[in-house]
Amino acid sequence: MDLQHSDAVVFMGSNMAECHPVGFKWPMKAKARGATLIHVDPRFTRTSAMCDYYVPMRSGTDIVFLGALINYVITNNKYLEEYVKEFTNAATLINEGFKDTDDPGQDGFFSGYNPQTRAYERTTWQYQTDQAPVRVPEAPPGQTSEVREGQERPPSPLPGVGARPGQLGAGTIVGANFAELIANRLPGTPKVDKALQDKNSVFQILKRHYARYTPEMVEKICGTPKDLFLKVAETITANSGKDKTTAFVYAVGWTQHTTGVQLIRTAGILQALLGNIGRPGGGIMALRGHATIQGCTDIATLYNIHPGYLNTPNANANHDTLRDYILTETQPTSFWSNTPAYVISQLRAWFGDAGTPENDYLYDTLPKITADHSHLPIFVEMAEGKIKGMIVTGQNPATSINSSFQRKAMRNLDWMVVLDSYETETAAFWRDVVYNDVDGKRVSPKDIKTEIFFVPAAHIAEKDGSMTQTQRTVQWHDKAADPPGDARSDLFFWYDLGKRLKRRYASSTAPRDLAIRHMTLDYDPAPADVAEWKHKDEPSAFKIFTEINGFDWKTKAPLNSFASLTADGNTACGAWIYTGMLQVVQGQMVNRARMTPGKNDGWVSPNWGWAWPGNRHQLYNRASADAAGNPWSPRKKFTYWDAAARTWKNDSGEGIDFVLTKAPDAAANPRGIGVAFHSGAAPFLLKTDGKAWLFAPTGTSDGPLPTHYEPWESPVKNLLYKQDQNPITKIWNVEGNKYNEFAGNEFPTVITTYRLTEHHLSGVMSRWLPWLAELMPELFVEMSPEFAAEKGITNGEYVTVSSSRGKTHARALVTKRLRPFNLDGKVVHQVGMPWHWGYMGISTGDIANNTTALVADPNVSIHEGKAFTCKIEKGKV
Amino acid sequence: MPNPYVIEPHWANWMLVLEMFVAGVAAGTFLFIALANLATDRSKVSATEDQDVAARAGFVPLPLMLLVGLILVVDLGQPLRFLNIVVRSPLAPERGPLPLMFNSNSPMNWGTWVIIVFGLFATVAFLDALWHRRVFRGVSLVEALSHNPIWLAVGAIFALATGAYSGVLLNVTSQNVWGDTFLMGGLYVAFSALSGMAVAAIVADRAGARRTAAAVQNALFWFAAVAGVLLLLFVVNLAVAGRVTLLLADLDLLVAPAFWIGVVGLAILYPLVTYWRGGPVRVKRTGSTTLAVAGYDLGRLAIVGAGVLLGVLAFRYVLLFSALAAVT
Amino acid sequence: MTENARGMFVDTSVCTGCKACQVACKQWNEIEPGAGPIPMTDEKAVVEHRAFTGDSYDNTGHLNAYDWRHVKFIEQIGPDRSTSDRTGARWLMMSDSCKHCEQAGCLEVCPTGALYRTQFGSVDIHQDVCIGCRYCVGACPFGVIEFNKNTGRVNKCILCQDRLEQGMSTACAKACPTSSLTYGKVDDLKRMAADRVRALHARGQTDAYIYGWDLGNSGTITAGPNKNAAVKDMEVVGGLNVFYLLMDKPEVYSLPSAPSLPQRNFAPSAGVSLISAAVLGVTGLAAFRRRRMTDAAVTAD
Repeated sequence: MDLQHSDAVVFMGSNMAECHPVGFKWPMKAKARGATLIHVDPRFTRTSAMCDYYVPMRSGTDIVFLGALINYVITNNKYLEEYVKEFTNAATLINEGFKDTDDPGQDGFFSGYNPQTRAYERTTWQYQTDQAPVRVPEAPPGQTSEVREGQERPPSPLPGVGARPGQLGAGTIVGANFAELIANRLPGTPKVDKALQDKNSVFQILKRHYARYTPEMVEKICGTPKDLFLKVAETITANSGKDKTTAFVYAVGWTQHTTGVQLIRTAGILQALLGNIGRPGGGIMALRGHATIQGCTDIATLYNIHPGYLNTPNANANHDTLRDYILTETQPTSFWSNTPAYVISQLRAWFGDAGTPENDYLYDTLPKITADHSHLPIFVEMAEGKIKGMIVTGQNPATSINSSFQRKAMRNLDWMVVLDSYETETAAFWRDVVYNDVDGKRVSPKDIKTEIFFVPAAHIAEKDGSMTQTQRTVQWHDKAADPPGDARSDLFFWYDLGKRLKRRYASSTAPRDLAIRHMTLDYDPAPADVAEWKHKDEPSAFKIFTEINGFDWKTKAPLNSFASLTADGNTACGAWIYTGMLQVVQGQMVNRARMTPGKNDGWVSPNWGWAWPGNRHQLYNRASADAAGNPWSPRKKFTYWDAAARTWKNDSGEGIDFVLTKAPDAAANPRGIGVAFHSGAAPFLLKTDGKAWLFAPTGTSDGPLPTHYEPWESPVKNLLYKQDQNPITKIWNVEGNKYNEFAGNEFPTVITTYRLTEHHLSGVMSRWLPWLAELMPELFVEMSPEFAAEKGITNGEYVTVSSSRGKTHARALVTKRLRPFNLDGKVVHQVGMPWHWGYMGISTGDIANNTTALVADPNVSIHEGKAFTCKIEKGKV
Repeated sequence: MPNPYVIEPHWANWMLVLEMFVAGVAAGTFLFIALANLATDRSKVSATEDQDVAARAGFVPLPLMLLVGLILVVDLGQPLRFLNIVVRSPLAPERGPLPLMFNSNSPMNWGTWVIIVFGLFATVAFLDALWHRRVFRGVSLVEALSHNPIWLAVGAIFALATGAYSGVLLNVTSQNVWGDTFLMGGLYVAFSALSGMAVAAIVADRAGARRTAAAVQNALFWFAAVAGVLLLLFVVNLAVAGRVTLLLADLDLLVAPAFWIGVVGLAILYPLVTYWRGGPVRVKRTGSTTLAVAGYDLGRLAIVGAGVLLGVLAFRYVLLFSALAAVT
Repeated sequence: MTENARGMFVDTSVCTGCKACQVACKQWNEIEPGAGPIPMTDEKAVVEHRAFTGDSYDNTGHLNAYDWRHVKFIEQIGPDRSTSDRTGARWLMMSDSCKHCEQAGCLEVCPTGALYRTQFGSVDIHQDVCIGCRYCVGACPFGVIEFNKNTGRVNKCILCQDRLEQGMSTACAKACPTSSLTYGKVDDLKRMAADRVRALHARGQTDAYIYGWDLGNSGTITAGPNKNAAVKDMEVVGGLNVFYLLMDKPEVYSLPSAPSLPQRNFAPSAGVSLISAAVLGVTGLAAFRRRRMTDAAVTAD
């Protein structure tokens, strides 16, 4: 909704009109108000049709494009100076030992690279700081700390001191004074050069880093005509500053790359330089697509995150005891300083009264991860026969990355459970309609020993629950009808499974059973709350919702804010970010997630659902006022400091993302814990220094600054650096996952995959619906007429798309919306395929992912389905 | 260039070709019956001959009109509801308040009523035919009506309307060829009259009625000429509208071959040429106001009639299928 | 024009081609789907069922008895792919349906009263009355209404008559995410449309104009093959209650630029028929009447 206030919107790595058609009404409103809309993409799409102009760019070269924009902004002094100086870490000085990718001998690597481990050691990336505050002596775990004058500082707590890892009853946090412990871990204040001239300042490092990202380079690497690139640069700089704001909008066109995280960061840097973050009509809109995908990430769909973005205990980190975990994870100088409260409240919610300070709230019963357990490596292990069983819920690996590999891997399972509304390709992977593209033979069911259980799942309207969409807004929905027959909600499955396991482990003493034995699983609804027509065996989604929100442990009353969470076990909370979606107002409980917008709710619509955290829609909105707390301009007035009332205000009803009573001129406190460490001009509360990180000393494993590397499979070498690809890309050199030769001749065509409005994901929810199946009935691959002429392909005929992994047959859709790219004199063609098809459903077709590879971003293990290479041949080969 | 914006209304099918042909024949035959009775020679022999042939021809219109009705009903998407075109359905109150259905803007409604009334005339003609065969002697009114000039004239008008209305109906569409001209009503009635006279040719010849045959041959020539002129005007009209190649050169569905061979050749040129070359019935002047049949090739006039009928059938085919050929 | 007529304004300048309108229409009207996939070489199937057409993103093809809404896609991209200004490359999209013409060809020829003008000014079908004569199919100048082989009757968009009677908007307008389809009183919509065209012209998009009513706007086509062609608003067949803002000539959108009511042929055709009938009558009488035929002197053959 904020997009309607943008003066310019750049859609990049996104096809918003195609994939978020309803949300697209907001950029259209901006356009009606005179905003300029720009689409940067390898293809001219439905979004391009709506934009003022379209800019072509080869898949996988976004960092060059965005980096060149950064270079343009810096070189032409188009950055918002006060914003950059005050709100970003541009002035901060970096360790003198830091070496950038361009420094002599670095060849595209940063300092700290270890070729043996294929990893970076980040000491040289850190800030230069003043002396850290004096430490006070700490009591060993399990004992109350006392400050004694003159006493020697005891050794810092080692893992397992006073307890062995995994042993119950460790009691490492008994008597712990977290405030003191955290204070003992305060860092020194970062050193800065406010003039931005010091050669070790982030600003100067940034300037040097992107100096070679020129418009000429953009033309040679991205294939974008220089004048078009400059037009983009002029448009966004003309529409940024005090009076205007520009927004960037992205989706999986940016995430699904081996440099995905860095790519997005480049936009973050650019927007911070332009002063667009935290301002109305500014910022970066991340468009996530699946219904409640945001809610899923918030509440633990990912293997390495507990609900509320607390890291999963990790055997390779200092997480042996609860105390270790808290002290490792708590960031002393940002909002994460409250981590102890978040963690302990979560444990209280999970284990109830069975958890006590003496047994560390049963922290030790939680399993610890040992490696990357995301989708791709799991399937590699499955292919090696290491995984015996799998429960698949609302996912379809049989059509996923390197799908032949995944389908073949699944044959090694002893058992599989599939929860879904239709018989998906995964549930049917054993059927003889399936080809294995790797060996070219049809599957024979008698060769497959996997026992498959198909559990019919309810659809969205057939269950109670909540959804949290991409802008962090949670909405509650009530079920409208029972699901048919035996179909039940996914919640029912897990709850019922949990109850059965609890019964099974009721008298077990094995350590690995204790978590389930002690977990609170009391979500049976009160009979009075279940209407006569509803199934009686479904758990109460609302009880879980309440637990996620958090409540007082004694009174069971919901909490209104995460500020109420404590580390003494008196509060329980499933996920701290959600505290406040239930509010107690004048004694009545109000569910803010039920939409109740009034006529005068304004454009922010604070009563339409509830956005975490604290109903704040535009994060970091302190940045919409300058350092003194005044709006940057009357036109872009949003959050501002009311000096008379001594409080921050926002006239649009937006939640203020700052300490309400902290003055803009409040000084930084070197001994302050949490946000007290920051001054009143530090909007970025989750960062240690409260500033936007143009340079990232921690948080990314492949570099503090985004750097262009070619996709893992590319037809051309990296023109910017000697190092072609991201050096720490996650790769798997296993059978069935052969990579195309980099810049080789056999697979010279760039290919990308994408979505259509008419279908959804692997088509499970759309290719079974006749009304959707008939709108887009077949898989196709889009190609330019020049490319088609070269191959003798006519519009509509079948072609074969192949890679080292497998092949896909698709219809050719020849269109001028795709074009050949001229890359430094070499003509490179790009094609694209939607990936919605599979062998089940009304509309069936080959699987696009037969051609993709298991290769991933090193930070988050996301694959590179958006840019790889292939070969196209006429006919069905 | 065909009009690309329209959908063909599923009227290009053999049943409707047959229906239009048959309706035209029925109407044209009645026209002949009327003419034969109204314009007959006072001379006793000729008059008897004419009336005899007319009476034989009287068997033709009714069964054909029953067939027309049957085809029209069967061709409907909802045949059992066919009465809705005559009796206004209570579910369609907007066309009220009369209980009978009549949309003055719709040639189909006009046509429905026309053929119902014409059916009455065809019935009387049929009964008269039976009377002449001494099969049915029931109502003497039948005989009286069948020879009443007013009845015949009115009947002829309804016969002509029956022959014309399909053409008007096709004109009042947006289809290729049909909607591009307003001449088809005239064209249809001309070919209807022509086909009726062709039937008369066959009946007269088979009955050996030389004098009637001479008159029929004459009328056949003139009707062919009128039809030929209207056809020419029609072609010119289409040329102005830019659609003429659909008729003259479209090999799709054999429209053009059927046009040249069937319509131009058999229906128009064949009777014209035959007459110009003297015709099967040779007439000579015997006095200033008298003629005599000088020679008579028995059976040949019937062949000409059959040929013309085939040509008129081709005409119905061409007109209906040309619209289909344009959109496929 | 019907007092307080209702209709829709279709603003193609904001259509994203999402086809929500097609699906909403089918869902509300419970229209059976024609499922694919069928080989593209089977032309009959392409028309009657859904198959990959290779025609941009349009696999529906044409309005018919099962598709009362049809989103059209027109790619206009030059071979040099210049996109330096908005006019260099375009992908026009438009949601087509029955226009509910003020002078409706289908309505005028219907012989049973099945097609009728509703209190809202739209053209609806009494499915219980239609006999399936298909006259309306031949009469529509836009090729909208079509015969349904399964039911033996005809179908087209009926402007959600049942929804309108409940004071609701049409299903497609409700589903449209960018308000390309707006439902309302035609008078209000005309004002809205005129404002919209003026706003587009002010932004430099002088190719916008109204198809269906003459609201006084005059545009100049600045892109596509008809660059620099001047197009005025056009009123057709007495005005369209579902009318369009277009960005290029009507033919580009497969709409006729001069559609005419088939009724225009009625009087002339009837007149010609009358004249021809008279000529035939007179000719017949003259040709048939002979001078006295003598009884005798019939030469033997």
